[in-house]
Formats: sequence, C-alpha cells, structure tokens
Amino acid sequence: MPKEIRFGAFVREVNSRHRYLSYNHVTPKLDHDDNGEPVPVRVRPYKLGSTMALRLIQPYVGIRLIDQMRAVLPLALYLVLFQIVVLRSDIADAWTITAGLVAVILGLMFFMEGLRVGLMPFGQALGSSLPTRAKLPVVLIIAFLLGIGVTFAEPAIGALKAAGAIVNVQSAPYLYTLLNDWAEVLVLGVGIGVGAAAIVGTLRFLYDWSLKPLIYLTLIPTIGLTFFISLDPELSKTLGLAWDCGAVTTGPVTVPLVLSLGIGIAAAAGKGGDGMSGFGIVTLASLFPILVVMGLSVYVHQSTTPADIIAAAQLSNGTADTTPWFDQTPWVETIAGLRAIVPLVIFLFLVLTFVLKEKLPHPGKISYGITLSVIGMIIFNLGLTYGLSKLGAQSGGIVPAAFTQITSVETSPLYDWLVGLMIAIAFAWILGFGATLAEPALNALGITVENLTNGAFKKKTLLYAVSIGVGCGIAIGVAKIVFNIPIAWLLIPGYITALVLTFFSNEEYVNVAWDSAGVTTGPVTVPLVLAMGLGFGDAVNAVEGFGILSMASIGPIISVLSVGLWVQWKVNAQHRRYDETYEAEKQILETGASVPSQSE
Amino acid sequence: MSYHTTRPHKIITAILPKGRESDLLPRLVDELGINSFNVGFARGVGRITPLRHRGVGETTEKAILTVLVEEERAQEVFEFIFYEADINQPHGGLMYQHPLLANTVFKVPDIEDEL
Amino acid sequence: MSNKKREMVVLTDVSLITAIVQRGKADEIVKAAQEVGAQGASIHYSHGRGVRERLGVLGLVVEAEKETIQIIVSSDQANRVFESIYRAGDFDTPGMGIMWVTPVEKAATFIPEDILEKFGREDRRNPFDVRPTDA
Repeated sequence: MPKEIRFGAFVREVNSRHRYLSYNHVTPKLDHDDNGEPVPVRVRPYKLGSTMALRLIQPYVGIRLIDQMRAVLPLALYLVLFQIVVLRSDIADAWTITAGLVAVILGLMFFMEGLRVGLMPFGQALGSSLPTRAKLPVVLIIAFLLGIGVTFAEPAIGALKAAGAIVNVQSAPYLYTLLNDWAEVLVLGVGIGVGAAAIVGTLRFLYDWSLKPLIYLTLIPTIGLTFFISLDPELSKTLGLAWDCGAVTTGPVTVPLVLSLGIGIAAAAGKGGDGMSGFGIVTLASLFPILVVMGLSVYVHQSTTPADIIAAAQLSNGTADTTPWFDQTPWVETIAGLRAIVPLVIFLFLVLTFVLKEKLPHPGKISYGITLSVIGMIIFNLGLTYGLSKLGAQSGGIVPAAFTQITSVETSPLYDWLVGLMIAIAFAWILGFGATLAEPALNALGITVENLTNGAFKKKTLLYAVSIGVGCGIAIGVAKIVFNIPIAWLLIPGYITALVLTFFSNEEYVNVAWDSAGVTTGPVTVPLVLAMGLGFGDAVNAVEGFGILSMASIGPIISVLSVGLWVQWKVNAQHRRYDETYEAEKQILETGASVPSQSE
Repeated sequence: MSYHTTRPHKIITAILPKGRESDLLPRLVDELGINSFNVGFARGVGRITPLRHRGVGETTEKAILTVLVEEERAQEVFEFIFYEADINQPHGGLMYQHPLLANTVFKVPDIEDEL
Repeated sequence: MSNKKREMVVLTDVSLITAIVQRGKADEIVKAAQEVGAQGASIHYSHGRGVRERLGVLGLVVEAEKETIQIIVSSDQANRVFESIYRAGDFDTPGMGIMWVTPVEKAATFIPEDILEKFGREDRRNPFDVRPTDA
C-alpha cells in the first residue's frame, strides 16, 4: 500500500528528536512510617517571587479587561461620533463621561469575574442540593420567594416607574394611573408573575417537561388578551407598558443566578440527557408578568373611568416628583449595587444553611467572587450614570432633530425629513446592537450555553445573533413611535412568527432563543433605549415612549431561532453533499471506471 | 481496600450524534443487562467538517458512551451498539474498544422492595 | 429498525490520542492534527487539579478550565499527529497540558463502499481479538 508523505512532513519527522523518559522517575516515592503504613504525600506549596506573581496576574487581568473594552468602547465611540458628525453638536461634560465609561468597563470586568467565580457556582451548588434535601412544597416556596425578591432588586423596574412621570394624564389616563397610583401594585404584580414563573420553571426541571408546550400555553392567552385589549382605544395605550414590564424583569443578577440554580436542580433531579434543561425560567419570567400587568389594567378599566383618574390627578397635581432619574448622588448607585446582590445572596445562604443544612463549598473562592461582583456592580452603576446613560440620553434626546423640529436644537430639522428619519432609525439599530453586546447578563448566558454544549454553540455566535435581533427590534420600535403604529399590530404578528419558528426548531435552540430574549434588556440597554424612546416620543408628540423594549425582546427570539434553523439546514446540506459524491463514486465504481483517489 | 478483577474486561467507547443515546441506553440495560456505562457530551469535528471552513454550526454535539464489559461479552456488545446505534450508516459516528490493565467491578446494589 | 445486517467491517491498527489542554486551545490543536491527516476529533470541557492548589491565594488567577481532545488515528499516523499536537499545544512549556496514546483493539464506523473495494477484505485476524473460534 503506497503512502504519500509530504516532503516537509518528512523533514520534520527526521529532524524531531525524541527523548524517552520513564514516568516512574517523575512521580514521588512513598515514605513509610514505623508501622510500615505509607505516609500521605504532602504537596509542597510553590513559593513565588513578586515578579513571578505579577506575571501570573497580568494575563488574568489583561484578558478580562480587553474583553470588556471590546464590548463597551465601540458603543461609546459610536455615540460620540454620531453626535459630533451627524448631529453636529458638542459633547457636554466630556471628561465626566470618559471617567464614567472607564468605570463601566472596570465594573463589568469585576462583575463578570465575580459571576464566574462566585455567584454562578453558588447558585449551582444550591440548586443541586435543593431537590435532594427539601420536599417539593419547600422547593417551590423558595423558588416563589426568590422570584418576588429578584423583581424588587431589579434596577430597571425603577426606570420604568420613572418613565411614568412624563405620561400626560389627559391623553392616556389608564397608563398614568397604572404608573402613579398603582405603581406599587404594579411592581408587586410583576413580582408575583416572576414568582409563578419560577415555580413552573422548577417543576419543569423536576419533571423534565419540554419548554415548547409551556411557551404555547403562555403565549397564546397573552396574544389573545393583547388582541382583546387593543380593541379598546383607551385601554390599548397600556399595552406597551405591559410588554415592556416583561422585558425588564430579568437583569444582570437575576439571570445568571436563576440559570445556575436551574442547571443545578436539573442536574440533580432531571433525567440528564438534555444539556439545556437549566433554561426556561427566564422565558416564563418574561411572559407571566405581561399577563399579570394586562390583567391589572383590565381590572383598573373595570373599576374606574378616565374622568375619575383625570380629576384625581388634577387634585394631586404639583406634588408629582419630576426629578429625572439620571440625576442622583453616587450613594444611590452604591445602594442599588448592594441591593441587587446582597439581600439575594443572604437569602440563598440562609436557605442553604438552615433549610438544606449544607455547608458552602469553597467558601473562600465563593466569597471572593461575590465580593467582586458587588464591587463591580457598584462601579458599573456609577459608570452608567455618569458615562453611558448620560451620553445615550444626550444623543438619544437630540436624534429626532435629524428629521423634525425640536426646541433644544436651533437648526433642526438638520436633514430632509426622509433622510433624517433613515438616519434616526439607523441610529436606533446600531444603538440596540452595541448596547446588547455590552449587556452583562447576555454575556453570562453566552458563557453558560458554550459550557453546556462543550463549545459547539459558541458564545460569539449567540451574542451576534441576539444583538442583530435587538437592533432590528429597536429600529421597528422607533418606527412605531414615529408613525404612531398601534403596538398590537407589531406584537401579534411578531409573536406568531416566533411561535411558528418555535414549532419547527429543536428544543435546544428554543431554550436558548427564548431565554436570550428575556436577557437582552438589562442595565445597559434599558436606560439608553428609554432615553431615546422618550426623546422620540417628545419630538413627535406621541402619547408614550413605551413599546420599544418589547420589540427588542421579540427580535432576538426570531433571529436566534432563524440561526438555529439555518445551522440545521447547513449540517443536513453538508451530509447531503457528502452522500451525493459518495453515491456518484459508487456509480463510477459499479461501471468499472477508475476511482479518483480521495484526499481529505 | 481490595479491588478485585474477576476476569479481564474491555472498554467500548462510542461517539454518537447527540440524541441517539437516549433510546440506546435503556436497551443496553433491558436487552443485554449491562449497566456499567457512562455518558458524556462533547463537540465533534468530523471528517467532512475540517476546521478550514469553520463557521456557524460546523461543530455538532456528540454523545460519548463508555461501556465496561467482560471480555467474553465484548464482541456481543460491540456488535449490538454497532448495529442498533446505526454506526454502519453515514454520519453515524464511530466506536472503538480498549484493553484494560485493571478495573473494579461495578454492580448496582440490590434495593429491597419497600412494599 | 430496518438496517441491513451486513457484515461488520472492523478497523485494526488504530490508536487513540487523548490530550488535555488549557481551555480555548483545542481548536487550533485539532486544526494542526487535521493538517497532518487526522480525520476528526471530539472535544469536551473538563476541570483540572494540580498547579492551582499549590499556589494558595494566587491560584485564583490560574484557570482550572481544561479541554480534553480525543482523536482516533491510524497507527501509521499516530507519531506524526502526536508530534504536531505537541508543537501546536506547546507541550514543552510548563502547565500547558498532558497527552497520551492508548492502544485500540478495534474500531468501527461507516466505511464507504469504494474504500472497501479498493483494499478488499483484509482477512487478517486482529491480534487483540480473543474470540472463541466459531464456525
């Protein structure tokens, strides 16, 4: 049998000198004590000089720093360039914003590392001992409490409430009352929705239910109710808020914790097999609150009339607190950072100690990780306030100047109406794309997916698929505000498309796609997008700036599912191609022709 | 501290497209009475997906099934997996068998009926 | 199942190369192995122990994440692939990983008909095979 060897390989073969060393010389010899028992081999710790230690620490910090710079800097540069070149206005407070951006990058670096080392292993450890150590009702109660707890810890909910301050009571009375008189009930309702989602999701892990039927069962009533509400002209103005509530519930702390808990529970109780069984809670936690808020607005509609609301609002007029939510002292961010993580961790720790009677594995490592994530969250929040949100609010607020007249920009409209509108929508698309890439929860989800699939589903693939989806969603959302399209017209076809794609996709992609939709709208995206939405809303005198976020959630579902179907098609096509060539060769063989040698 | 090997054993490893293991495993237990196996997952780079044109979805997920069997049953189990997991079809994965120097014996403990 | 119970083609002269490397290195290593003729590889994530535990607090900055690569090669290729992995993975630097080759008694996969035709049925007993002689 002749063999071809490339000459280069041959030369290398000849030049490479092998030295053989018996491994017996390398492994330690056992000492024996006086009784002839072997003494355990003690590993001597390495003593490292400070230079050596630095050489170890440097790549560790470097890699992580560069990762976050890649995520944040393009977005910041883009915002700056856009404002200077396209909108021809200067950046206010440039130095503060620069410092803020540095803080965002550092904060994200600490936070992500803290997630990886501390929060996620902690969640997984808890999840894996939960089903074995506690009875089912206890597990479900814990899941429910956790669901309510994470909602109150979620900073984006506050942003939604603040957005309610600008709603005009005359034009959208129900929306106004939901955001002002009913604000506490609204947040509690969202919390209960997330709690219920946590219960259903946990049951899914324990009994190995497929996610698809759960999606159908939740989404079909939601779409139905949306259609019903959209028929009432007064009530339909609350739809944007309801769908946006679903989008903001799942943030940077919630998602990784819930995911890792789920993976732990699924690993301990599930049937194994399906690597993606830790997913799904995030999806349900995005859908259930929508139902709850819609139910609430229907209830308000039954119990009060618009006239009453307007009368009540005029009584309390002037007491309304109208400080914009990005104008606060650094203490607020510090408290928010602590509030987002510490109570949750304490709650979970108490559950671990008193309910499950388990010890914390690797306490040193996990406390290091949790400390890192708290520090990171605080720095990140500060950076958002002084850097990214400020920048986003500046350019988002004046983007409409490209196509319409707004008071703060003298020369507006800057461009011809159609050109300006194209520019504005392109701005929205890129903003959505860039902000999503920087979203910490999505990064955590990407890492998890990559781990669970042993690298077959790369983090990068997921990030780009989701970001493109969000960009398209946000662009459509902006168009919705400018042209005043009723949101139901966009949501209902969008989600029906998603349902059809879900039906044809395999379980794994369904899990990833729906969960990533819940993840996209986090601390980076929400302030930027809301600022932009409100800017557009003001400029075109829209009733409200809601609905963009819900469009940002539907985008990634469709894009990730499409990627999944495309990959399936590609693999099948590859197999078909291979089969065809193989069949052709067999044909040649049978007809007695010579066989071209295969070199693969 | 004594591990004993009754007789020589073999390790059979099969690399299958993910999902195919789910109906094969119960059959291994029911039809052959073999429960000394382990399943893991990996990403596979196959013969027809060289890394040269790497793109989305060029790597697919595989299930890796490792079975420990006594030497005289090795042939039977090897053939069973070969035919029942469709390894003899295109894109069916591959399987191989190792000799062992030493091993422990794995037995599922008998569980008394609680009824 | 209605697959044709043809005779089984058993591959002999097969070795398995297993390499444990730092996470993120596997793709380039597999590429190097494929360049010298390896057919395919399976890769999974794993955790290692060793150096980290001996560094104390500093151990936190060393990744415990590993990738395990398994490649089935013919015995003619084994040395070449082994070397190309050794080079691509920088196995001569401390802490990069470890690799070994395992003998494989026999392997089986789908063999295209044309290859079978080309080499005929090598009617050679597998040296490892200890089947009782049957009729």
